[in-house]
Amino acid sequence: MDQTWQVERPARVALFVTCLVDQFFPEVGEATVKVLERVGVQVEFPEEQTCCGQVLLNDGFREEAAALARHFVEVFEPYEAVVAPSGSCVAAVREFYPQLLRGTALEGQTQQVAHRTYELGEFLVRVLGVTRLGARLCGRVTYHPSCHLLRGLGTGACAERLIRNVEGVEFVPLRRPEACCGFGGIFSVKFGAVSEAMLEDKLADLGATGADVVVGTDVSCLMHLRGALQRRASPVRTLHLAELLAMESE
Amino acid sequence: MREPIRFAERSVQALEDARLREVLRRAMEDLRRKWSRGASELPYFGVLRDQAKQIKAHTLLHLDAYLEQLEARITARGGVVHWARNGEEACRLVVGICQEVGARRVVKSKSMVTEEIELNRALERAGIQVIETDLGEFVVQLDGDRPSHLIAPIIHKRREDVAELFSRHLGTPVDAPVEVLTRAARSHLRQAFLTAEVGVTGANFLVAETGSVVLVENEGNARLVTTLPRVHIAVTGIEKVIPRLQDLAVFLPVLVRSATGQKLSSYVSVLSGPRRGEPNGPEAFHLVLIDNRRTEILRDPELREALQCLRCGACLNACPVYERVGGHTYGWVYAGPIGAVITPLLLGPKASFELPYASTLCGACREVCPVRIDIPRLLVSLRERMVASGSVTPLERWLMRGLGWALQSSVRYRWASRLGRIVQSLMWGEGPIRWLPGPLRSWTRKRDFPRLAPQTFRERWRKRSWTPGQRS
Amino acid sequence: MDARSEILSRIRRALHGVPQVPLPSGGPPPEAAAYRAEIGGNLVERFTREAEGLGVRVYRTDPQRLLEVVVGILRAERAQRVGVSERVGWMAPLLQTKGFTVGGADQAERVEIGITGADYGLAATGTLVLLSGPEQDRVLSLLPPVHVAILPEDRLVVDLHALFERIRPEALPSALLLITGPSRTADIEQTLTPGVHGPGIVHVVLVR
Repeated sequence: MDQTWQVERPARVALFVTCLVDQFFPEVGEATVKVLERVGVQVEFPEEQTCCGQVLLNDGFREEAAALARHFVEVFEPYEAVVAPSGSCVAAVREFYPQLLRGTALEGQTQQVAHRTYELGEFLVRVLGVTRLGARLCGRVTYHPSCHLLRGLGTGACAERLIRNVEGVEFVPLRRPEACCGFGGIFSVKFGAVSEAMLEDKLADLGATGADVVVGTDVSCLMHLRGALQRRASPVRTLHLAELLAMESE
Repeated sequence: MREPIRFAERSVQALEDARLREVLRRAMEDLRRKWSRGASELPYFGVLRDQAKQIKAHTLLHLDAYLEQLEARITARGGVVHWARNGEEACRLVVGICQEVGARRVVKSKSMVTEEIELNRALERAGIQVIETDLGEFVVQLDGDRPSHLIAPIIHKRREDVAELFSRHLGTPVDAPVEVLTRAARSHLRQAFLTAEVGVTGANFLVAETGSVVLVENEGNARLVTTLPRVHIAVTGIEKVIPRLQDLAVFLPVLVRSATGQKLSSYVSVLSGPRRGEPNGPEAFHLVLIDNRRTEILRDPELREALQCLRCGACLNACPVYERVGGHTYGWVYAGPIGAVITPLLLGPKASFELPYASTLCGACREVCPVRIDIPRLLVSLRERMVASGSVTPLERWLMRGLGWALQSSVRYRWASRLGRIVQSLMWGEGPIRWLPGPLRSWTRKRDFPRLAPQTFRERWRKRSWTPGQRS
Repeated sequence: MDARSEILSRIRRALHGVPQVPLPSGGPPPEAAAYRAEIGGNLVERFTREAEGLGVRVYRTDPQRLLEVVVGILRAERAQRVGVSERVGWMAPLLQTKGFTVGGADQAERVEIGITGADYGLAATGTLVLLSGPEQDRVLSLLPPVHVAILPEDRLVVDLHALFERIRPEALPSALLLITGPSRTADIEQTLTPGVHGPGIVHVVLVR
């Protein structure tokens, strides 16, 4: 879909926190709010929100995914813009919701909501024109772009720019950043051995950078990486983009 | 009834083969580099891809008219067109033509569709010797093996494997270098070309406007197969037709650059009928057009796009799954991302229900496809059909429907959230989650699973248990 | 119903009522203009560079010195038995007087070098275009291990688009061959090896 980038900066945005962040990584949600407030955007949190439904969509449960899409559109329709700390959720909304709800009563609204939904990094860089937030972190940092952000939305470079501009960061790129980490939702369980093999290579690339921190835009990828790093008692930290940007200058 | 392809099982075996993994990794990295070079060297490559996609889409929507035009042109030039509803019909036709001319020996150049219909077996059963002449296919034939890549059949083999095989069959030194092996194959196969009565090829393209078969290759065996024997039989799926001769100016660069990164392959043969007053070339030309469920795919607006495939192999080279498990894991003729789409369409869901799920939907394949086929979307469409036809396990259906139900309302969502924490506390206490039950246990073999946070974001938002500007 | 009718009727039923997609008009896209113009202004140089990049030896000469150049190639290749295509048949008796054993297309399997003409050259890719016909066989550019092609410089065109602008579909012979470099394979461990089935060595003589 051709994304139209709004020229006017919205004064208020609705936060779509995403089910994974809400349940497993609430600190990422808090960091997202902090970052948005820091750049002068008022954040609202529509409490009726649940989940974008990509797991159901990707697994072929179209009807169930459509029901969640309807719910999303109804919840977020009143807002000028919707921001989410997740490339894959936003890709589901922008790329799939319009075709899921084509021919239904919500078709028009779905198009509109889809156009106004952004991943955090692209929102900061493309909509607000902000590339530096005064955040600070000393250390070697690398970046793993999620496949949906990179190829679905095509805005994987926004997060990288924001990361590089964090004071104190020594940025080291991954050898093959575009290589999938192997999560793929249900794939990680159905084809666990292949998933592990892909993760193994991603971790090897990570190790080769010597980075202390790997930053990502999707907690799905990050929890995949972290799960293995933790099992190996690795000192490497995973950090969501929002958490990095929320780190204060001393 | 065909045995279902157990991709997960096969992938485990493939992953344990460290040699195979190393061979594949190196080969794929090499081919990906070549793709990048081929794509970036031509500044308007993207435009050509868009054109190729549109031409193919248009052609499929007028397929009957173009096939009729193709047939008329071929007939006018003295060739014969045969139609086959399925593989058995096609094999019978080819065997029939060979028997009519009293052929004892057939030379073949690489054709995926002939593997699909198992043509070699049909010819051999009729007492006709078949010799594969593409170097990789020749090796596969000698070894009783199967090709594992669309255009590089022995990508899974090392030189040592081929050298050992050739020393047994062709008498070359046991650890011969590549040049010696190649020369041995060349002289051995040269005799076959000179003595075979019939040459069988596939077709990369069929040009409707001129009644031509287009063969793209680097070795020269397709040229030999279509020049020396008296009879040329081209066997192909109905979807290979393109409208005009000039469309080759779009398709040849996108095909070749996507497949190998070359600007053009060593040889492209545009063949239009038997020889006419020429010193050499076949005296008779036959085209066998095969349906074999392609019209079914054509009927489905969501899946029709799969018929645009040029069989270039770029998606295989880009795929992180293929890279690690290789082509044999896909269990049939077509491997990689496009194989995960075509095999279920041609063999049916019962034989291949795991294939559409064997992907993270990362999209690397879509990025490199010369005709921009949206393979991830096709895979999701196939998954939807599995669900709709009741082909998923009851457990999965129950879990997914349950999840969908719980997530549709924020009230149910919050209840599910509370329930989750109770279960977590009962089963895992306060420590890290190092095991998961049942089908989910493969996650925790090498990974910890994240814990549900003590408070959800929405609970913390409600209580505003943090203030803006402070770290939590 | 026979197979043909059944397949065609299945196709028609499958496509019934489906919205149309227009066929893009032929010819090179506007985005290619600058790229193609650059080649068009440097046909010989570009053709030479592309061909040499593939391991092809390229020579430039005029008609008076053509025979001399060809003899030079034959001697450098230490060849004795040579096949000469009808298109360049005038060379045959002259080469014989120079001491070579000369045959025609029927000797293709027995000669060390095949000498042919070429109808066009594509500068963008270093490609030779051979149209089969009574005077242009298919075997002298294929069976011998070495191929020598004689190409008039004024037959160089930019690329495939330019080629198909010049070839009338009705006038297509039974074989139009595009030859880009020597025969090769990378089937064994991705190692590039020339001369698998076709010639491993190619020489192109451009004649002004």
